[in-house]
Parts: sequence; structure tokens; C-alpha cells
Amino acid sequence: MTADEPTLWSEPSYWDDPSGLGLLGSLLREPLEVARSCHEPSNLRPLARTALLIIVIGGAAFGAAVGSYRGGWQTGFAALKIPLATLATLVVCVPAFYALAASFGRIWPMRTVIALLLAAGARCALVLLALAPIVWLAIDLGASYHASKLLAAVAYSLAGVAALLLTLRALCPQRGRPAAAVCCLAVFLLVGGQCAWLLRPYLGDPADRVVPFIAIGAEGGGVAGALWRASRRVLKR
Amino acid sequence: MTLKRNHAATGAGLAATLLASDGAGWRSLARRVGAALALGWVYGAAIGARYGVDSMIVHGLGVAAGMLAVLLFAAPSFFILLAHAGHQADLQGMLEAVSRAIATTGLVLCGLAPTAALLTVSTEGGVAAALFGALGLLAAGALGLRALHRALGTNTGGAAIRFLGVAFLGFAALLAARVWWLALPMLGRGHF
Repeated sequence: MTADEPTLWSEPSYWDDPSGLGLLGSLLREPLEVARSCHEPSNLRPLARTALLIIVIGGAAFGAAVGSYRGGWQTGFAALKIPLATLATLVVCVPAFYALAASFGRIWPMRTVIALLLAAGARCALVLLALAPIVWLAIDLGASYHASKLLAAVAYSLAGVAALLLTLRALCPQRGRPAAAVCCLAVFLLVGGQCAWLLRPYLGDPADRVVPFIAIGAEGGGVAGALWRASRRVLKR
Repeated sequence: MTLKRNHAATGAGLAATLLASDGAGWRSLARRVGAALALGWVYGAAIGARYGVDSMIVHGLGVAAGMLAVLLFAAPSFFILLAHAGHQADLQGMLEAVSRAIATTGLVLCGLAPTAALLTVSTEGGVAAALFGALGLLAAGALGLRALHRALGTNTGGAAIRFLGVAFLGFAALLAARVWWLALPMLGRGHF
């Protein structure tokens, strides 16, 4: 190890920035540093505050872009529901991630796990924020309902991958990292997919005269079934 | 190792208390196993929530019963056969390893409980709910067995010990699956 190389407990410089803007850049460019800083208790309060803010803003912007397909109230509903889905996913995943990490030899305090997941959620929200204008433009240019649905799903998946990369870095190159990563990925996918599914609709089905805030009633196949049907419709055109 | 101790010292909480190697007095072993069974109960209650309060209690007891069955019926056989194959673990070491394996399973089950509750309660079909419930049991069981193999070194010993390790894995998995199938109405009977 050279003198310039960061140690596990090194303190990144962005914590000196009271506005929290330093964290934005670090989340995107230095996920490893952010992951490491989650082990330092004094960093957690500013990280949690900034991460929550980013999750709400990024998610709301993406939700509004998706909701613009229908317009009106649906824009606001979707802007509210995307951050809710992200936060619900994080809340449900925290105990799972804590237990899975511990079973793979990474016995971390719960507050560290919460900070890591908040940082991952913030990274996800930043990518959503970046993709929101693309989704909005596609919808504005007349993308069909199913194409818009697929595009939103792809954008959400890309954001999920960005969050996952931070989580992977946090797992450190110790023994059992691939297996731990697979377990965490499976939990994130299942919980994220289900939370998003429970809070649907985001676009608003054109067949509905009034779009409900939450769709109640069975739609066979869950999130996977809905994406499969949308893909088939888009490919048939 | 030092890093692990640092984390334990800085409040890694339940996981550190359950999984740390702190000697193997009978009382500490019993406490660990008791805590693991209670954590397993939480998972059972979570998957049973789909069918009401009674079902939560029944499923909680069922999950703990599966863990207890492996502890009472599979682990002693494993120890005796391992000793015959020339493995050096003494009874105290074996008990310590088994209790940590059960604790790992319990901890993972408890960690997965909110996920399981979300998925089983909100999933439309009973079969999918059962599948999600079983998936959590499978993951936690596999991680517990992995912890046992690593603690006993049965994945790196001689051919006979490695064979016994694999055989035990299969036997413990079958035993737990059988007990869970019988004890969890959601999986085997009653709710389809």
C-alpha cells in the first residue's frame, strides 16, 4: 500500500462541504470512498440527510416524467410514488442486507448498513434524475403506452444497477463476495420489483377513464408478467 | 479478524452477539440456540401473516421446529460419523459450530422476514407466496450449513470427511425440508 492509497477508515474530503454537494460527485465518481465512509459514525448524519434529499428529488423528477404520459394529477401521483417505492425498498432491505452481510463474515453495525443503503438509494436516484429528461422527451414525442412502460422499466433497472455497484463495492473483496452479492441482488430485485408493483400505476393505462392512485385488483403475472406483455406488444408493432 | 473485532466493539449488535466466537459454555450455547429459534419464529410469523394471526403462530413454530430437528437429529449423527472418519473436532467444538450455524440460519431468516412478509402478503397467488416462503428457508438453511462446514473445516479435510460433509448437507436439507413441509401449512397442506 502506498502513502496515497486510501485506508479503510480514511475520511473523504466531501464531508467538509456543508452543502452536501460534494457527496453528489462522490456518489457518482467515488462509490468506494462513500462506502468506506459509511463505517465512520460521525459521517452518517450528513450522509443520511443528503441521501434522503437526493432520493426524494431524483425519484420525484423521474416520477413526474413518467406520469407526464397521462398528465394532470397523474404527474403528481407518480412523482410521489417513485420516491415512496425507493424508500420502501430500502426499509425492507435493511434487515436482510444486515443479516446476509453478517452471515458472510461482514458483521457491521445496523447504522452502517442503513447508511450504505441510503447511499445506494441516492446513487439510484441520481441516475433516475439523469434519465428523467430522456423518458419525458420520448413520451412527448409520442411513445406508445407499452413502449413508455418498457422505457421506464429499463431506466429504473439502470438506476438499480448503479445502486448495486455501490453495494458491491461496500462488500469489500473478502471471501464470499460473489455469493453475498448474488443474495443481496436477489433481495433487492424481489423487494424493489414488488414495491414498485404495489404502488402502480405510474403512467396510467389509456383504457382507464380515471386513473386510480393505487391499482387494486389482480393483474396476472405480477411485475414480470406486465413487462413480458409490454415487450410482446412493442415487438408486434 | 481485527476488523471483525473492531466492528463488534463498535456496536454490530445482534449479529456480533450471535456469531462471535466467545467460548462455548453450556449457558452461552443454550442462549444462542434459543435466540436463533426465536429469530426463526419471526420468519415463520412473517410468512404466515398472509393467512391471519393463528397462521402466524403456527408457521412461526413450524420454522423453529425445522431448525430444532436439524439440531437434535442431524448434528449428533454427523458428529459421530465425523469422529469415525478421523475428524479432530471435540464435542465442545462441534456444539459451538452447530450453534453458530443455527444462529446464522436464524439471523438470516429474521433479516429476510420483512422481505418475506412483503412478498407473501402482497403476492396474488398462494403458490407464488409459498415459493417465496420456501426460497427464504432455502437461502437461510444453505447459509447455516455453509457456516457449519467452514467452522468444522469439512470442506477442506480428507476425502472421507469431505464426503461426510456433502452427505450431511443433503441429509440436513432433506430433514429440514420434510419437517417444514409437514409443519408449515402454507408449503405442504391446507392453503392451496
